[in-house]
Amino acid sequence: MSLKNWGRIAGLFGVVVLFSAVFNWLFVTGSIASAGVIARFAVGAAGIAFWLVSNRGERPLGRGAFYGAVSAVSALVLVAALAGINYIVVKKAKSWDLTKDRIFTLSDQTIGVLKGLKEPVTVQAFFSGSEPSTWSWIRGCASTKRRRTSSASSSWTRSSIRAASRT
Amino acid sequence: MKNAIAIAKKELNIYFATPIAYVMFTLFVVIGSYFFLRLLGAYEQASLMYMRFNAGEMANRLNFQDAIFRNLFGNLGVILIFVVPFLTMRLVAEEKRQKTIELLYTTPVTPGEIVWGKYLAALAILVFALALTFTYPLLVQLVAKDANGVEWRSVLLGYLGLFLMGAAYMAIGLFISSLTESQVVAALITFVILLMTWIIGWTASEAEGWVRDFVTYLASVSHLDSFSKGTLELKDVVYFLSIITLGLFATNRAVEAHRWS
Repeated sequence: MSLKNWGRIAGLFGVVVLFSAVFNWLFVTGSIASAGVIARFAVGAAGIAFWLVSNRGERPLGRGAFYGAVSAVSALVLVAALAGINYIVVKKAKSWDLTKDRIFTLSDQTIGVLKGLKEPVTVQAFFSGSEPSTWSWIRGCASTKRRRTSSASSSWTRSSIRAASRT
Repeated sequence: MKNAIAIAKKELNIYFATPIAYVMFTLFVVIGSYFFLRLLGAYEQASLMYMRFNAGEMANRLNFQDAIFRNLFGNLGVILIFVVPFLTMRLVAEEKRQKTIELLYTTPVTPGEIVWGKYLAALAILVFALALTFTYPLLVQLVAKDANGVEWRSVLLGYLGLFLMGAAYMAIGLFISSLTESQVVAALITFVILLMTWIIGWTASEAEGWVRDFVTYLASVSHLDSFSKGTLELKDVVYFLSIITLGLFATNRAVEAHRWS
């Protein structure tokens, strides 16, 4: 097998390891500074670097390289702009209830009660961890109420759910 | 725009001249009908049970939207993950393989018009596939025949959600198709990416804090739920439009890059 092919395999392996590094960082260690995450990033980058070196001839040079660089920069700008728009829209949530009986809209009385709350409200829910639909429903209710009052906040922890399901 | 429409017409002719579109439509409808019949059966059983136990309150709460269509739209959204790669795989990849894209470049057509034309054709196919499933609510309304039949506003909103989701998937598929000459490779990579946008949501419960919120937001299927239940959330619309914008922009760059290479 030629060096080019070895390079392609190494590049593919590098991409997979980079994904694994991100996954490990976000879901396993929770920290980018852990040895496992850094090692994965290093191995992934090395694999991609080997592909770049061994497949030099396939990459565009001159005008093509300039065009590629402009495309990459404009893509990054677009991604940043879209991420910003999404962030703003999530923070300033807006929704319309189009159901016949407006079942996902809080009544005026409930809104009045929520606006009158002075102290932060703590809601403790106990349910089995194997009920994802209940979980998402409760989170949905909490977010609807959170939009209506600054006094209601919610924080969710996996450990508390596990503790609750053991109770 | 005239050029884009001409390209879209040509693409549509090719779609309907090959068996791929027909096979995909058939699979989409067969699997969709299976889920619809299962949900209809579950609705019937629940309603019989409530009548048997004289649970009037529960029977009153039972409605087609929650019991059938909300779940059905979720299922159709997942089926789209399997169908879209086969509908988008040939859009640009086949032109590149047959070298007909070189002919396109010699005509006074901009890369943007090429991308729009192909995307419009893909959207037309998507609308056609979704229209075939519109018989489900029509059938339910036909049988229900009363004021408590189908909530049409919620159903149409569900279809809007499915359309936006399918359009986002199509944009991803079109981009992947523009990167390779092989239709199989295009379909496989598109399928893996679309599958990831679905299963990434499963891992959300494993994370905490901002990571969970971020991962949940990335999952495409979670953005369909608000449409399916009858609410229109701005963030879900923006999410799908963002993917469409990014997909079409990336496709445009990829098509233009071929001209410069």
